[in-house]
Amino acid sequence: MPIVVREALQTDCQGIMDLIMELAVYEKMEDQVKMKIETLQEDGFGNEKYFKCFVAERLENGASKLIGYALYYYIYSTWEGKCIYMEDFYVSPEYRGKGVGSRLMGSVCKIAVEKKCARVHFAVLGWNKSSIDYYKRQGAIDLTEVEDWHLFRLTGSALEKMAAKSDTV
Amino acid sequence: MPIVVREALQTDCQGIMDLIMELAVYEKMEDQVKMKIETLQEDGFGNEKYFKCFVAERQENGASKLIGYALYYYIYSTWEGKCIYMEDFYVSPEYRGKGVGSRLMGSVCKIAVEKKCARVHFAVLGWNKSSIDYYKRQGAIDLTEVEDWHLFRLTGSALEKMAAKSDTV
Repeated sequence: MPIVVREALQTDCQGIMDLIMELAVYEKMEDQVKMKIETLQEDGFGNEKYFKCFVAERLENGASKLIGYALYYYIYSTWEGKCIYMEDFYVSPEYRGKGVGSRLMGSVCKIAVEKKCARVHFAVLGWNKSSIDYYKRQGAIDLTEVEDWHLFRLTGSALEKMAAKSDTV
Repeated sequence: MPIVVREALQTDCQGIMDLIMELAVYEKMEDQVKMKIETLQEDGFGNEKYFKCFVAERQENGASKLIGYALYYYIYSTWEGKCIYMEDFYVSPEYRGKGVGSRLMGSVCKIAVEKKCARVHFAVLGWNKSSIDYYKRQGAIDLTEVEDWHLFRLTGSALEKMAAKSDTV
């Protein structure tokens, strides 16, 4: 059965949710997933769209199943201008080794080139050697390793405390 | 002279460009800056806006000068939904220690809280101890240190090669 790589539709959201959870389990962080399908539908296909997505779909016995996805959005570099950030990139284990991942990530990169985005950024866990090897084979640079960039997060009560330091309106 | 923290206007772009270059020099990466003021104006204040920005302005002898900025945009977490990424955050050295930075970063965080964004993310160079100490004092978490996240980039010919792996249309 052929595997089709195409842009996601709103009807794909349940399949994408399932893959989001598969990826979180793979990254050993499933307890961090708070996403609900209604939010994904609204944020991806509502009036304001916060992300775009390519999906890999396999047809079998008249039923279709999503077996991979690459979710991305536009970011901005004050040095280079518009860029793309690939937030999630995942192919279910039993469908790897067939080039599906490269077709998905290639689709995101094609958008970057068409929209004149100088860079595609993404994040990988340091223990994920097979993914890191794949990305390096594609010519990607580990900016944490090469330039010592660290990713930081402010959330929860620390985020609220910081918000209180803004000028009162 | 009081320092005002406010949202950036299109007329601030030259001042922001000067600070972008100051920050790049501070990060020892000034050769990577390709940004032009016309691009910044179009991308920040044109029909499609790719970023938003707070600036810190000081009035002296009837003239105003920008002495700090915090530039940000919306990103998307498939685990938490809408978030904010603070791309640049900088105060000119001679104006540090007066709380201007906290007012700038606090403004970005206030937007995050108002817009129900669960997280504010940003990147810091590992050798930048004074900045890292400041962020940790605010309760920010170094995800590279704690969870081993690495930031990757695809650019140039490697980006084009990857784009060619997408399905031909």
